[in-house]
Amino acid sequence: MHVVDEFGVLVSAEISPGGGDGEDDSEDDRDESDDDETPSFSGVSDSEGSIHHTTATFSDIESDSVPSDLEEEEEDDDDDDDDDAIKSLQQAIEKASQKSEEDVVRIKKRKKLGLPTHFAPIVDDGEDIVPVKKKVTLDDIRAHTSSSFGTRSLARLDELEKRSKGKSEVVKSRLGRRLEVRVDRAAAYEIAKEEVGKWEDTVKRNREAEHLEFPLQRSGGAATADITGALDLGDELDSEKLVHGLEGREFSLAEVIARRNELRRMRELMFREEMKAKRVKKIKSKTYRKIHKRERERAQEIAAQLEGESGDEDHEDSYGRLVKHARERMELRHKNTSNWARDVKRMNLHKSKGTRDELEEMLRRGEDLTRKIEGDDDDISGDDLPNINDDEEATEEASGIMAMKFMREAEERLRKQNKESIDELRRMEDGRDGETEEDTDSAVKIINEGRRRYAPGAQESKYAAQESVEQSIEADDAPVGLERKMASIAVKDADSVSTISKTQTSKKGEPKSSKASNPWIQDVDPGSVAKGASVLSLSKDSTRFAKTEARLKRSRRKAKKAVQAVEDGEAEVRIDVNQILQIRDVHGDPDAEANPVNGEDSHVMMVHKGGRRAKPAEFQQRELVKRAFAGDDVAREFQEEKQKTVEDEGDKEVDVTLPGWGSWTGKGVRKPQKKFIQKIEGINPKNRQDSKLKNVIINEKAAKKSAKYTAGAVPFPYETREQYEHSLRMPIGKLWSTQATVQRLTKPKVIVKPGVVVEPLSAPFAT
Amino acid sequence: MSAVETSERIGSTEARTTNGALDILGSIYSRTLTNRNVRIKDRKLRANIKRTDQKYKDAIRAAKSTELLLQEDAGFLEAEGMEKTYKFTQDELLKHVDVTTAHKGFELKLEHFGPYEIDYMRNGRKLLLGGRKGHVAAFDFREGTLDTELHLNETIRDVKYLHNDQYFAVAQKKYVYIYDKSGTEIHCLKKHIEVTNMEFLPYHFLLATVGNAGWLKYQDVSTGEQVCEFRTKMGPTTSMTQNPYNAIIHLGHTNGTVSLWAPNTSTSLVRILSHKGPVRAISVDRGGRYMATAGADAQLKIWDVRMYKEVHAYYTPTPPTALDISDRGLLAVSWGPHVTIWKDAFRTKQKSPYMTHLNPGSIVNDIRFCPFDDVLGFGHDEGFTSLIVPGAGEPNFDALEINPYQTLQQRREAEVHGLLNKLKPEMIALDPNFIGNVDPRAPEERKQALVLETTDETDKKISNADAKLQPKAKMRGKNSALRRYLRKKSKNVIDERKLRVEAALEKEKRMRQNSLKRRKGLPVDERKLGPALARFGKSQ
Repeated sequence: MHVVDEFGVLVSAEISPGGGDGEDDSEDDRDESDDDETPSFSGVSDSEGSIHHTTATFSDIESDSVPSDLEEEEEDDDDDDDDDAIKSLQQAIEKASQKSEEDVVRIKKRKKLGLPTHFAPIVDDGEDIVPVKKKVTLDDIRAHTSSSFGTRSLARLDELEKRSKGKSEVVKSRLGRRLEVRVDRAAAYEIAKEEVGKWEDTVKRNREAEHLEFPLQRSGGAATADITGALDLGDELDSEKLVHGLEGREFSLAEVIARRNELRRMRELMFREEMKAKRVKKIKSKTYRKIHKRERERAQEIAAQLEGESGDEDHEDSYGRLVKHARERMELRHKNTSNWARDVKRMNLHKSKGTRDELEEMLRRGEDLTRKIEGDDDDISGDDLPNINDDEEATEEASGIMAMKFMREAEERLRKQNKESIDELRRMEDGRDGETEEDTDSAVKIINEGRRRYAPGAQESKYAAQESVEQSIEADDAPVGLERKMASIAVKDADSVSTISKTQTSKKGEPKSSKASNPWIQDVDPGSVAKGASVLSLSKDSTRFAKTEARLKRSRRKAKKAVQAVEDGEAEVRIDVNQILQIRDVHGDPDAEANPVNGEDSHVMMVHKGGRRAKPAEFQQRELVKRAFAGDDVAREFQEEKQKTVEDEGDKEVDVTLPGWGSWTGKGVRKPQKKFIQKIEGINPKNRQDSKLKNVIINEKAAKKSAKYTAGAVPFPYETREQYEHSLRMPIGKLWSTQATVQRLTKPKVIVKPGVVVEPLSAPFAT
Repeated sequence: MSAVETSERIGSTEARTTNGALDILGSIYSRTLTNRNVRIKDRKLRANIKRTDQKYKDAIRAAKSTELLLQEDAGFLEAEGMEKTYKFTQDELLKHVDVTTAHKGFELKLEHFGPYEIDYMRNGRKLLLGGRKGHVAAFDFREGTLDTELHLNETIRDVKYLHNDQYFAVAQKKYVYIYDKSGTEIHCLKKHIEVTNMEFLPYHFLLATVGNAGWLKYQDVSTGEQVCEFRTKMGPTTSMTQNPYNAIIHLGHTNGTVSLWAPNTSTSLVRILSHKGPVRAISVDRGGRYMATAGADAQLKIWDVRMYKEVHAYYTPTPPTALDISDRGLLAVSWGPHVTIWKDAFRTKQKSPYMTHLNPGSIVNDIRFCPFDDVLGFGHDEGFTSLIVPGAGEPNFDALEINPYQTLQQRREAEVHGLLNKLKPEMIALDPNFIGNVDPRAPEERKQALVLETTDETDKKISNADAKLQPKAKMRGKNSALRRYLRKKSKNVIDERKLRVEAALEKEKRMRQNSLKRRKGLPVDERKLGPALARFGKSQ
């Protein structure tokens, strides 16, 4: 007889926080459901306490209590936790046993009095009464049930027993409801995840797609075409195509790859089959070959006969024949050199008639072939005859005495002489032309005063040089002898230069007329002017001798240069340069002398003047124009204006000192030291756009207008200004692009075909 | 001598590079590429930008591929052997060109009213002549049909076609007038006084004028409002032109500077010291890259307008009077009675001109290339002359943009489209692509600027509204027929008709007062009942 009523309740109260009598709803629910399943002992229970877990074992309690504590733990840890729980349970039981000693005594008393002690199992071991951990079975209950107890409930118990006879275990209590739900949820999530994952590719693709057209394409024909195209490509791209196409169904990448591999394999097999068939087709039997060979030979024979009869043959045939002959000549096949022929000879087989005949036939054939070749060769040599006139070919084909070395050399010499004489004649012709042109030209130049930009002529340079000398004499009453000397040198130089240039032009054989008639003669070359300037800019303090020496040097250098230029083949330009400098001296422009590297002086004459219409006044005209505008110094004014603008737009300091503030009058009062100056930031002169442009003022403030047409910040998806502005670069309108481009650029992201039901995405590969 | 021969397309020289990919991106269709070496972290953005780039490249490729459809090829005169193109005279040329082209080379002798200012319509169909002494003529020079001919008996300083051949502006002695195609005076712009030069900005519908007083004024010809006026502070303006690329106005002044103007800034955007004397003429090429200026100091200068740097400078024997740059980049210069045409004068310094022409005895006043045709017209002291200049005009036109063969319907449509697509004056800037870009200023600074702009506008609006007069009670009907009848009628006779008239007058008066009250928002004493039922109502 074991009584566990008190302990069972106690234990359960101790261990499970969620347990106990009606502590929470879920527990209640469970209790109720338990009551439904298990027989109720309400009738049996007395005032001492109700038995909730009649059939509950300790292990059951443990299993109930553990997960409540360790909800989030995984199953691996469960065993350890169970052990812990068991220990705590045992401790609790021991405690309970100590506590309940009094109760046990009380029950003992009851027993002694003969009162029923209900189901409390108490082992009576002499003095100690120890509660035994033992399952209460139905039999136990029945044994203790007197007939006075409700038979109805017993009957129910019987029924229960019958039902659970199959399994030895007792009905386990269910997991915590929340836990159950959670587990269910997790499982459901896994399944759902897997299911939804099937759409992942599709959704991703749709999301990334530039345009979507609903309903999504489902036409079978197009899809198959897509597939074949994709297979031909055979790279990663085609798989994408496959994903797109294929009867509009959605495929996962793995499936597509598998399919593609299969198709690839099929194709490979087909290819092999084909190759094999090709090879097999070529294989022919020996008899086949023999028959065909015989046929071919017969045809050839007939052809040869026909040929012999007609005597005339086609071009192609003749070509073929030539080839044949050539081959014959190379191979010597029909001479007595073949193995067979040699064998015949060696073994004296030629005595037999058949073999001899064959041998003879072969030799005749060879003879035939060689003879025909000779005939052809004769023809060719006949054709070559007229070419002998051509000297070069003649030398190549020369033979006999003409091929000998000294003869060839003599011939070469002769030819060279001839060529030279012809060239000379030609050159003379050209040269005379050039000279005549030049002569007339120089005559014109003498007439034209003040014209400085013409090509150098002998007369002009002489004239200019002399004039320069005169100028210098006028300018300073220096040792006249030296000056004259120098001048004469200069003149000489000029002379020599001109003659050199003349010879040069005549030598070059270039028609001078084009140059002379062309009035667009290049002006000052800045570099060379600079050189000239360096000479001219001898300091005023330097001695006269030094000056003259410098001039002398210059003139010498000039002459040298001219000579060198002749050698280099660019004489005219350089001479021209120096000429201009001298002429500038003539006109006595102080500006030009002081600063000859002025930008404006390096202009090219722009206007076209006719060759014959000479305009002597033109140069002076320009001078006049220059003088006319000499008064208003526009450049200086402009620079001043620029300076002013820079200052206006630059940093400014404003004195914001209040007048009278802090100023006191009276004896011994110091002046207020502090001045309040506010600095208004402007544009740094160095950062100005026009800082490096001399004749330009750029308004820095102007750029700040029209803010309403600009964006305040870089719009969202873009990270930098460049990216954003880069995207704006392409105009969309049809004025700037082709029709197709405009349509592509303005295509909406989603297009829904009107009047068509857009169905939800079907599961890919769903059957 | 060789006739006009077709040579390689000059316009596509930019596209002619070695690399295929660069070939497309470097073509005339490409736009500036910003430097984007930094790798973009955001995958989505990276993909997006990559896609945009691809689209851009495709667009260029597609645009380039449409060149196949261009029907015409441009070509220039080509000399053979010893020949020089500048030695070809018009007479020689006319022998070798086809009949229709030869027809375009003509001369109009108008000795009494010269010198002439000229202007071609944007599509090159019509020609407008304005003689200094008051003669105006608008006509189709190909067909020889005259639109209108006026004798204004007043000095004419400039003539200009507006957005189509229906309207043209004439700068007369004091004001600027707008006439229609038939020669009817439509408007007199009294705010534009003593105008010497005019320019019309076709995409903004703005007529810009500048005169002796040195005031630059912009008039919107679609709304009739004057958009803005600026004082140049540089005295009389001697020359004016527009940059077709960005609609900036270039003015030449007597002190040798060239100033650049836009309607949204009261000061000039850029000033360039170009010459030592007054700037006689300016011209900007179609792409807005090069500017040619001619000064009274007998110089011709070529400027790179993007960098504001002088590229080349030439001398002319006498100071040039007029300049013009053709669509295909020919530069025409007139000096005295001469006209000189230069080819490729911007990139390389030329030594000899492409063509020359002498108009003996009369000084050239104005010179213009005819758009879409190989014709150069110039007005001179004794009339107008049209020259044939092979290779001057753009042979291929975009009919949706400017159509030389425009029908009536197309003209109307173009006008409506032009008005719908009209750009605002504030959109004119040195860089026309600035719209939509990120403002480089700090946010606060920008905010301030925005507030300023908006307040300016609202102030303007308010002041405009104030300026408008309040509707006043006009004393209408003072001399109506009824009153006159009463006046004439003897006072003491009261007959039926008089009573009726008096009643009618009374009624009119009441209605008038009521309408006035209603306009002012005051309560109106209305008689609820009509005249028929009023007698049954309460007597007042």
